[in-house]
Amino acid sequence: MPYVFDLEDIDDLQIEVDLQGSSSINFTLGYDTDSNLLALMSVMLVSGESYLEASFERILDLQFALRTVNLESGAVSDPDYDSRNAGNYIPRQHRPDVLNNILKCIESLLYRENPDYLTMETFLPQLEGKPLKKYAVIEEHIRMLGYELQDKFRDNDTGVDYWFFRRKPI
Amino acid sequence: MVRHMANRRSLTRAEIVALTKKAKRRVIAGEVATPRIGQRHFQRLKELKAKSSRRRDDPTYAAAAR
Repeated sequence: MPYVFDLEDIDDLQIEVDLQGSSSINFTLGYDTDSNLLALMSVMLVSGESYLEASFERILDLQFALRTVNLESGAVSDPDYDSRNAGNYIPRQHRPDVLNNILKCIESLLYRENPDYLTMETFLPQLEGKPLKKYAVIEEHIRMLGYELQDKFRDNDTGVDYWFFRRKPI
Repeated sequence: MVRHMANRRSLTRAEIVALTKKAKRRVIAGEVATPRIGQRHFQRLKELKAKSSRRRDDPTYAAAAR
């Protein structure tokens, strides 16, 4: 049997934090039982830039990416940000479930890190329709978690969309 | 509150683009912690393999698959 979609319940998953101040939650999407491959979704808050830190204390960049892990060798793939490859690991009918998991991860990560500012970008340029709608759902969720949108734009040179959020003052 | 007052300015769009690009490069460069793989993954893989093996041995399933 090749790949089996086996979405992990994220309720018990731990936040992994590194020394640079980035944090992530990784949940299982499925397994390839022939090649002993594990497919994961990584939801990450990556620390911002030192050159900005004088005026912006806590800026984190929200990212989500596919990763595969070879359970025999332990080799972890580079993150794959390209949503066109999601079809290899996420059956179409389960995409809403995966998005729901991503939203829960974002909530847990924001609750723990409580950044002042947050950025997000699309990986692919010129997104329209459903692929862009996914980001709109995430934007709405971030707003619901106490952030206001300070800027949102499509870069003229690359066609990539950007979001810049700021935590609402209490 | 003082912290918020100190932070009250917006990033320029060029800064937003530069920041997101650099954050992504950091992840790709492996500077951000890679996922820790727990025992539960090995256990689950074992279960799925066993299930797969049972299916292969089941003549009903094999007939249906044909």
